[in-house]
Amino acid sequence: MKSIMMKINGDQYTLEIQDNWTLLYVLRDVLHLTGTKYGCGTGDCGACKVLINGIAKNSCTLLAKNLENHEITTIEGLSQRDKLHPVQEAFIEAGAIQCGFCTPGMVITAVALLDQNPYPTENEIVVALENNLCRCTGYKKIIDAIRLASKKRDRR
Amino acid sequence: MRYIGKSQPIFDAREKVTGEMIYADDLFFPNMLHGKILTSPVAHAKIKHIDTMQAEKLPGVRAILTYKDAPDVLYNRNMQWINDLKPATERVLDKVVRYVGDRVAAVAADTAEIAQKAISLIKVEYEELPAIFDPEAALKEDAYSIYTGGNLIKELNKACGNVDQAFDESYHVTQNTVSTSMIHHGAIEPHICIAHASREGEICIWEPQRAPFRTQIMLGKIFKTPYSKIHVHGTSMGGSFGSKEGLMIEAIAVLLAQKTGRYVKIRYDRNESMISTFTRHAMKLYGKIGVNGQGKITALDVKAIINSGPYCGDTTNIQGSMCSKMFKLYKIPHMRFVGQSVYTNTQLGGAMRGYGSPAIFYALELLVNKTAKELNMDPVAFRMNNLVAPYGIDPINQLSLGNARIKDCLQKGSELFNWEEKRARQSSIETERYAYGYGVATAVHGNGVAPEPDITVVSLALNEDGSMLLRTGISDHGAGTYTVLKQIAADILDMPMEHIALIHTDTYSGLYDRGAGSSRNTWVGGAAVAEIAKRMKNSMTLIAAEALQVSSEEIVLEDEVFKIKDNKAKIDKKGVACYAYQEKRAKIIETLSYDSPRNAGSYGAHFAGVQVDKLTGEVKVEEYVAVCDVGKAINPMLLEGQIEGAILMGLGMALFEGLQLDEKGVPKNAGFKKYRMPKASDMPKIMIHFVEAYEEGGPFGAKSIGEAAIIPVTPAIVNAVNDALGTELTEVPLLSDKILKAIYK
Ligand code: FES
Ligand code: FES
Repeated sequence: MKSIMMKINGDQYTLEIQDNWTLLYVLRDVLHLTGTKYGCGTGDCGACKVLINGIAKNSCTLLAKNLENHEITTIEGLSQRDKLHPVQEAFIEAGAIQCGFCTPGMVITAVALLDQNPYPTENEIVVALENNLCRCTGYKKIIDAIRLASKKRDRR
Repeated sequence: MRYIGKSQPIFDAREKVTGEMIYADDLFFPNMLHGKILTSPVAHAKIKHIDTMQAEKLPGVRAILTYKDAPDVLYNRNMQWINDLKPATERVLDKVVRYVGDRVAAVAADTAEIAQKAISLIKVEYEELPAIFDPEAALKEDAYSIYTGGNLIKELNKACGNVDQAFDESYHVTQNTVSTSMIHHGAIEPHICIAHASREGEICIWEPQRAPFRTQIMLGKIFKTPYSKIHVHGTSMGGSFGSKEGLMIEAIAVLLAQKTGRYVKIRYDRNESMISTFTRHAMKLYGKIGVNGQGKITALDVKAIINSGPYCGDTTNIQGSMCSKMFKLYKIPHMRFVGQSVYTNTQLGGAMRGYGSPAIFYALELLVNKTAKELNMDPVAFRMNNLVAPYGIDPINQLSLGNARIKDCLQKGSELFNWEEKRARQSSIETERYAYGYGVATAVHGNGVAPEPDITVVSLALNEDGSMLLRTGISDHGAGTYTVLKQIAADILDMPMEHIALIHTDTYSGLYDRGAGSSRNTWVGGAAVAEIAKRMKNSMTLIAAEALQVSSEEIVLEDEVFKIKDNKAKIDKKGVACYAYQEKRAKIIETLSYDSPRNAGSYGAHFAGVQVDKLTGEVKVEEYVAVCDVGKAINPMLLEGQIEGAILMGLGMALFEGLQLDEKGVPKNAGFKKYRMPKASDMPKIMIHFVEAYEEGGPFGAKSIGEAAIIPVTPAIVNAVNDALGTELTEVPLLSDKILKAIYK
């Protein structure tokens, strides 16, 4: 066991962790932040994506012990009680959600993309989604949603 | 309020998009243990000895199971009802393992990590037995028999007309042989189950499950427990595509829970979900078509060899299902289907989106294209000349095909795709490196299991504030079933969808359903909801009439309230409920056991345009048109979403998906790192069109799409690749080396 500090969704945590614990394990099994999903555990599906200092990363292949003083945002950290993140609104509006299991990872990926590149081309969206699998939607409406979120940003 | 034909996001989209939706893996019960299953590394062996001593000593290990601890009960993992007599050769844990991935032992421990460690400490001595992986070899007379009595599970023969004579009299005969692979369902949520065994002898399960009432059947058989003590709580499904059904980890979780008295969660990792559950059946199909001088198909003969793996599961049902579909697409006087389901020592085959139809129409649609080519006919025109018409007759059961709009689909699709223009300029756009090709395929899938008993139960209860509680046994796979059911009820009852609560499938507090497969959800579940909503409306109308002191004929439901025609007097739903409560001392509740009267066909015509890189053998599907015979689009956005997902899934089946085994039956590409599923970059430009023509028996004339949408995809793409290259590739997936070999043979 080792003690580390992390900021998660704006709150400061001091966590007792084992060397081999992944960030996904800490989020889900220790903190019960279950919005971040397990789909493969090998870094190949993107269901476990979170923002680490603003960059979308798979939490299942990251050891928590290496994240001392990092800022982590999970899907739970994107919305407020009465207000969804515009990307979340766009996912709903565009019909980009079916079973929802890939959704948290997709939304995190989209938020990271739009923060860096507010007006991505379709190709840039596709490239950003390269590490996110969805078996339900065929991606079309997810891409539509990200476009819509980008457009909405324009209007704000 | 009007909801039919209106796009609505999935009703629980907010929960899902915020990460607040609870799936089974998000449940943490007090004092819960974590289970892990040891699976077989060998394809066929007797367990000579299992040593669990080291594992038992590991701190935090609470229970270990081997075959000695499991009930010696043989079962079939996919029993559909209590008297289902499909072959039963599986045990929860057995002395013999029959495929790589078969269950050997299990552990429950304080954490998943300890359970995993304990599993690695169990020493098993195997006495290897001969293993057989090729179903055709398994059928040979001198083949090693996995069970006594040979490896043939069931042969099915169905025919109409006089097939052999028709071939003799044919003007032209075309033949081909095709094969399909073992495909992983790929639901992003892996298999997971939480079990509890109470002191009262109850067995409780929480899991994503598309047929909770079937789980009850197998658990009842294995544990000799009455259904009244088996509670299967369906959790939100993170995708299914057929995978979230049949007994896999449940009985192990129950045994561990019984042994420890604690809640036990077992979650398969991705490799286990791929190897140790089941896949789409790998099949080999031999086809033959005879035509007359007018380009009419006169005879069709298909033989399908279906690799079941060592347990039957759903295989014989799938064999029956694909057979029945074959007779419903083309109007051919002489047809024969022969199916052979076979035991081997590969991983298991089972239900996956389409239930055998993707294989039978893959064979048929490649064959039809080949025939058209040999006759020098356009494949669209050739199909148009042979497809069934609305209200044609199924030659096997003599029942009507219903409003089968396949010709409309084909016509519309060819227009939207610009089929003729594209083909006319095809050769002019080919370059030294890239070839372009266009493919078409048609297909049909069913709606429900009629003429089998196709039963679902629904109830609708009116609250005193005018809102309602809808109970249905139907499970939502995640594609929007519950949203559609709410739309149907809300439309008929003229009320906001948000005022209808819907109970998630549950054998304890919910109502019976046969299982959310066979494209039953909209067709059977939706029709049942429509019927119960009409009955509720009727009951409310009677009470409204009494309250307003007129005859019920004078009452109309308008603007959400019951009104007297041409009169100002009205009463709302709250008023009706309160009147019933106060004056009639009654709650208004309707319950219905619904049996779907018929089984319609959902047809579709798909078109694919591909670019093939002759240097690398890579295929890019560039454009795609899907025209679907949906009866009525209840929620166009969800409908499109399902079709888009199906197109990508079928694309994976065509181009790269499939478990590959080494010579010992070990999968070489398990896990998402090696098993490639379609990504966003694989998505073609997609155009979707619905043919909406009322189908009797469906809610508002609607029929299913979930399965129907995937069936033409793989043949459309493979036909396009063959068109681009002038090849006759028939084995999917069309991996690039296969394509290069075909070009440069
Ligand atoms: S669970 Fe982390 S990438 Fe799949
Ligand atoms: S919505 Fe189900 S996996 Fe993406």
